[in-house]
Amino acid sequence: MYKHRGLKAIAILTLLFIFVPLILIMITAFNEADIISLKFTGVSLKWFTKVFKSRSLTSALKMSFSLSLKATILGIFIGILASIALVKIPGKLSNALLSMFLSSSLIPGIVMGFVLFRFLVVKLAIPMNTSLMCGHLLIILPYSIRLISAGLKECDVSIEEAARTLGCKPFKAFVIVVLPDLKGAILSAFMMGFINSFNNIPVSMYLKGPGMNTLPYAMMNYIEYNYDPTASALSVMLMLVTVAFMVIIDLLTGKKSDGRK
Amino acid sequence: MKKTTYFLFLIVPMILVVGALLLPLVGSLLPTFLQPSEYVRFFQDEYNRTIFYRSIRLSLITTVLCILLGLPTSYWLSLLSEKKRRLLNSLILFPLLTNAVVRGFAWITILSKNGIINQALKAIHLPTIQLLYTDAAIVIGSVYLFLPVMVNTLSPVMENIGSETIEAAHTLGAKPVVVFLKVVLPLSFSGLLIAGVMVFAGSISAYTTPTLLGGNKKMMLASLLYQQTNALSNWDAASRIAFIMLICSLGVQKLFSIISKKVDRREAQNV
Amino acid sequence: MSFGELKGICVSYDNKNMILENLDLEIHKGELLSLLGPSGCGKTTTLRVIEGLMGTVGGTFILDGKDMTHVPVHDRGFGVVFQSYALFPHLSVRDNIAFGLKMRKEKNKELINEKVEKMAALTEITPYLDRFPKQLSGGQRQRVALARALVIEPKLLLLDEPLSNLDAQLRIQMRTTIKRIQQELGITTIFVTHDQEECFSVSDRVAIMDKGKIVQCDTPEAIYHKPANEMIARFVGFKNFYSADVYKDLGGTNGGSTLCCSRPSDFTINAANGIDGTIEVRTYLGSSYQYEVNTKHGFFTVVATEEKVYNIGDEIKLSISEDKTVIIGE
Repeated sequence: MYKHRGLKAIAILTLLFIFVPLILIMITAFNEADIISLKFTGVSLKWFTKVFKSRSLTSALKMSFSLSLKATILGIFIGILASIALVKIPGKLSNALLSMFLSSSLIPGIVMGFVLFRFLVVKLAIPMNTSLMCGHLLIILPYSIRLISAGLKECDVSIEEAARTLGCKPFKAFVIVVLPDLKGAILSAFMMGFINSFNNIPVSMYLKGPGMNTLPYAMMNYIEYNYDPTASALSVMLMLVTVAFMVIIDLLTGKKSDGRK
Repeated sequence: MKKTTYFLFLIVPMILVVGALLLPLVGSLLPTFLQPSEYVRFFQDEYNRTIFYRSIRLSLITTVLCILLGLPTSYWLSLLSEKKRRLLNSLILFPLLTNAVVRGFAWITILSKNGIINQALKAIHLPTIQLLYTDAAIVIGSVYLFLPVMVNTLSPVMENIGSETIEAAHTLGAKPVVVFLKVVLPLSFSGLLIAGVMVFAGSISAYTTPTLLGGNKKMMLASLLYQQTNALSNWDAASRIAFIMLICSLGVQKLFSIISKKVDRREAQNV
Repeated sequence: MSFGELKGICVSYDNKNMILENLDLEIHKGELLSLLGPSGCGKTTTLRVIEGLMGTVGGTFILDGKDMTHVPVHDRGFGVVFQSYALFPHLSVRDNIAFGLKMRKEKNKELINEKVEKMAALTEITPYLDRFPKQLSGGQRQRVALARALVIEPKLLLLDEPLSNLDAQLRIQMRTTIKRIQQELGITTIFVTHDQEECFSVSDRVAIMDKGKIVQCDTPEAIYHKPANEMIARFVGFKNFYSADVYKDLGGTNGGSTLCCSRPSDFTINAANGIDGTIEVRTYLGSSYQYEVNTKHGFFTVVATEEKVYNIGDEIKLSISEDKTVIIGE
């Protein structure tokens, strides 16, 4: 009944503020002009091909992708085991452990990168690759443990018990009955873990070895020395990946909840 | 399976979180307290002090702007139909999942010397202005980074108030502005506190955005920390900055979560 | 002229599908008028139009000679009790009740206090004035919501399914309370419900709604004895529907193509003439039995007292007297 004009004006301002810059990037990425400009001289995909021609960007892309994929899969696996333990361990202790595991998400990334670098690399002389993997696991674990343990708590305990009464061994009961029910939580954990690992800068910055680069860091370097729409094109590609992720998760988890109703 | 067996499942995360992160963190920070005078010296240094105050100031401004924009926006979203609200909420989630470099770069293309704003100024024959590498650029970038956080944190709080509560206030004679002040604001206050502190803690410890938009001229704490380690290998100084950053982010966050629980508990007792 | 009137009210979200279509409703001064119907019939929408929480695409709402159609919610000054009670969780019971008075720029604290306490006494919540809504039971919250709505001395009291969140026993107690207060204050009240029994027990008049229209508006007694159509007949407890031909076989005289109906308890068993049937199901209702009787015209549901108990398989004759049968037309 009420128009809420003032509210609506602020909300629209907020939405514009959030989306206009991203839209501007999309426009400049497809603009044929040699500088980043809104003066449209023609549609071109040349900046996208230029991304793939840049050795530093493509190798960083490969490196980031494989690092985040490995770390996320490992992080999900660790997260599932930890979540099972957290559900079975009595309440108070379990809550204390959970908040301890989640604490790494509260520590500023730059502080985390610094501490890991000082301890793992300088003190223990652990190889850079391993240290980097540890750092990314620490980024992923809070998401994976939080989302999966929450999913597990929501799971109907009786379905596992039902499977057991029907003659299923504990491990098999978990895999064939509980795990499918956890699919949504695991998928969200995978998405959040992967995206946050892939997007991370401060931790990677400290732990990447000489000569290797993760994509966000390589992009940051690229922007520092080159000011052309290649970076816009790369941004558009990264946004598309994010959109794809969101749509896939929405489709997969959306279907599940419909099925339940 | 025995209960103790389950603890085996926790070994790997324990080694990672406790062994690689928490203990080394304490190990790096504790020795700095052996020389408390160094903290005093840190703040006596003009250069450090400027950076510290800039970090606090810009993060506070960022928080206030996020509240001013985010609070009305999330309230407005809660008044929409469920379909529209869910669509807009997931749209607002999108930038949160987008790389900070991309988001920082978006503002570089707008604010830089040859950026979109200055191109527009040139086109209408006005002198160009320095926008990038200013405090304002850092604030814009930080608000841009954390406004979605604010809206996404407040949205469930607003939805929890319930449309009937708001309608009830209207039927009792409250105009929309009065409803906002007398009903919506008090009922979302503890959520607002938490979201605000989250934004403050996030923006004071952010690295990427201030570095991209502030450059070397307008440094913040995170870039100072990186400079100490990367260029100067000064571990002790870096540890001190790390501790200051932890106090400003984690410490403030914990403090306010206690305060907000107190606010809530007082309600709970009376409520 | 009546006290209040809805005339030609149309409500639509998309201008295509009408939620309310040309709805007319008269409101008499001091009455308790109920809107009754299945969910989705438009009764809550009608109430929201009266409250001013729902916009209309056509029609007018006049109250006490004043056109209220475009008056904003906060200026209507009606007392509304919401289904969820919608008490303000951050305010004490006292402040909840005083909210409407403060919105009316009432500065006199003593006067506010006096009014709040008077209303608290009327709704029997005086001991809870300094508690907060979360510390109250469902019934107590309901009373607070009622007090909050009444303290502003509204021209209309509007209740949206106020009893649906209470358990059965409390429900009966609360509806008596509501009726008592309504009569004591003589306040014109509109009550929305989907519970037929609840509605008939307290209302002066009932408007039965279906698919966005009012299908019958009359006193409970009139509706109970003379439902306007089959839907309403089913709603008020008629279980047997049959054609005029069957009616003749049962002992009636009225012919034609009309539809007749009767309640299970209205049949006479084993009178001189009637329809032959076999009892197939028997259920005990406490002090009476219900039988499903199979006849050549299909099943009849019949209720008879314990005086004579029939067994499954018994052959009986069913008949009905004319004054017990309602002819509702096509």
